[in-house]
Amino acid sequence: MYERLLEYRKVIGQQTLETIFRIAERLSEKKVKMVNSTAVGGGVAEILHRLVPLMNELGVETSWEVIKGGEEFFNITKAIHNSLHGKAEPLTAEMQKVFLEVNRDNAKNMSFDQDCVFIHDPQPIPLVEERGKHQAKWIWRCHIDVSSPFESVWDFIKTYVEKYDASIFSAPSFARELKIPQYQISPSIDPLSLKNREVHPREIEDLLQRYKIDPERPIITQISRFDRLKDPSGVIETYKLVKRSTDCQLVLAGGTATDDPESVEVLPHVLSHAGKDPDIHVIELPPNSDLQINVLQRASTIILQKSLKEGFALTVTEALWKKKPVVASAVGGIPLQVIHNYTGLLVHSIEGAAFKVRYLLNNPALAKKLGENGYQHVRNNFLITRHLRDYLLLLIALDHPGENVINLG
Amino acid sequence: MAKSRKVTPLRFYTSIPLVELTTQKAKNLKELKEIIETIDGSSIYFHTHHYVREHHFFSEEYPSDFAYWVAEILQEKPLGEKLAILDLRNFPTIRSLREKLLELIGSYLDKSNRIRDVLPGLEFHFRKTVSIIIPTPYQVSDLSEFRKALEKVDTYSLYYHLMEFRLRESGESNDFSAWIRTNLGKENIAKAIEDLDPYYYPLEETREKILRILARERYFDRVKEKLSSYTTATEVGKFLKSKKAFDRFKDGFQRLMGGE
Repeated sequence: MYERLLEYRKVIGQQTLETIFRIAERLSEKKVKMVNSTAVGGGVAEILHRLVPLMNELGVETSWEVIKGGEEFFNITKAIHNSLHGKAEPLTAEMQKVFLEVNRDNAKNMSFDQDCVFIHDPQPIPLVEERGKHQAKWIWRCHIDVSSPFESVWDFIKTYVEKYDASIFSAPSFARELKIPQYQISPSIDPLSLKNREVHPREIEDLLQRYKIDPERPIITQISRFDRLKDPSGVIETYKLVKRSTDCQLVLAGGTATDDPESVEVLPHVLSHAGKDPDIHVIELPPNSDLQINVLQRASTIILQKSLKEGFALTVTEALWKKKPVVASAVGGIPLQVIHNYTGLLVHSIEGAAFKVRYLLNNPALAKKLGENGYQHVRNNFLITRHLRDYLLLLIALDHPGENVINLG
Repeated sequence: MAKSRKVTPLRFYTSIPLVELTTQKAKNLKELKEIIETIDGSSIYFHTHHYVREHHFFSEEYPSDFAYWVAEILQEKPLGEKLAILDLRNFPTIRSLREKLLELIGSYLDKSNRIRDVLPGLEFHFRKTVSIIIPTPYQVSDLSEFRKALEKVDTYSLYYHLMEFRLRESGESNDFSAWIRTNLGKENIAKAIEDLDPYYYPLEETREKILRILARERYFDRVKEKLSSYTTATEVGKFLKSKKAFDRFKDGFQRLMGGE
């Protein structure tokens, strides 16, 4: 019993774990369903793969279903996704029709006789049309930033959002005004996963040797897809400004996705910008490079996240978990994680990033303190166990609508 | 020996927060003040208390979201510092705390001749808390059981009994001190716990401090018992048995422990 959960005891402590058990005791009769649009790939599927077994282990019977759709459907949902991020991709009446039909076809083969149904992201959002037919409470779990969407598409999606009992957003800045309650549940990392577990010093030595990175000199690293919004050029400019006065090396590591033409375009540009500087290491990581990412982060002196736009930025969470000093742009979910001067440093420009990186390289005691604080911040707020606890608390809160204090004594 | 009392057992509870978004946000001091005036009390409560409940290590600097945002993000340092130094123990109700916040921000605005906006993305987002209170299996009737339970509960439980209870009851004391005073008659322990400032230290540190208070009092009791066992047949025995001897021992002990 509790085999998986007990593995987290050494990370979060017995007391915190016991609290999770106690909350779950209140929910032993509950049945939950999770619905999203992909079983593999992407952060949502990754989180569900970990959360669903933990909820079942706690006695909250949780099932997970993935909606099916063809190429046309997923092209439409991609357009919706882009529009919610602010890119103008209007939905024609025909597109809306296909979007709804595919969801209605899926609904015919699904049951919603649970106590609570969590619908993740916009792809399966119209399933809420089934709401009145069952007793279940319906939750829309939004993982993306919908604060500045393309309005006509948001208006279409909103008609469905407001049919739910409640919604969940990852950060306060991601939310919109809605008629239904909105909860904040941040995403999380798994401290026991390949990407975050402790590594042996030998693994660090081997990896640095493989990429010809000098372990004796400072290493500044940004891990992210080769995407313009992650500002890889800005990262190189930052490095060049720092290098004028303080010796360091730069590691820019990330993947390119074959289904993302932009990343294939950006990488050659980054390589040409890097030029022949032997201290700039542009590393193209293949899929499933979790351990390499872990090792690169742990080998770094400072982690940079100089994005122009971000989601929650779990790469920042991973870096903080490894006690690394982080210099990051104040965008998306980053300010929730990087509390300026406490868990890292927030910046607003290339010059600001360079200034702060140089400052930390020359102030190792402060860098260490920020890293320690960052680790504690993640330990308290951004681990999978906190995520699990919040989902359980929400199940309780749904039975007490409008109450600020729910006393189960 | 203490007189025997009828003890009502103390049940340890834990209070775990779920965060709700209000979608109200402020980009400058004027907007911050306007929203504080009208927003649900549970939002004021969240932004002044979640640091101590969640961010244990920050409490040495900015004990509230308002202080942090005003000082570090808005860069209105003098007001941020005024908000940071507020002693939350002096506000038995959220209403009184709201009034104080409005007074401080209002008088700062009256004296300042410009309204500064933060960069987009750095606005103050108002959130509120839903507290879910759950009983723990720990119920205690004496100090020894109290100490054992205190070691086992999570920090949310300490938070509930030391802070949330006081606000809920609009009272002067915390739940631990109130129970120890009323049921065990140990005024010195009750007072020593009241004298701690749980808003200022991480909750784990407060737990350690309470455990030290309990250990010290237990030690004093043993010393008192030992001293009283001496015979009064000799002058030395008479002195050792006197209150003066115990007081001297206690003073020496406290000096040695640095005032603890």
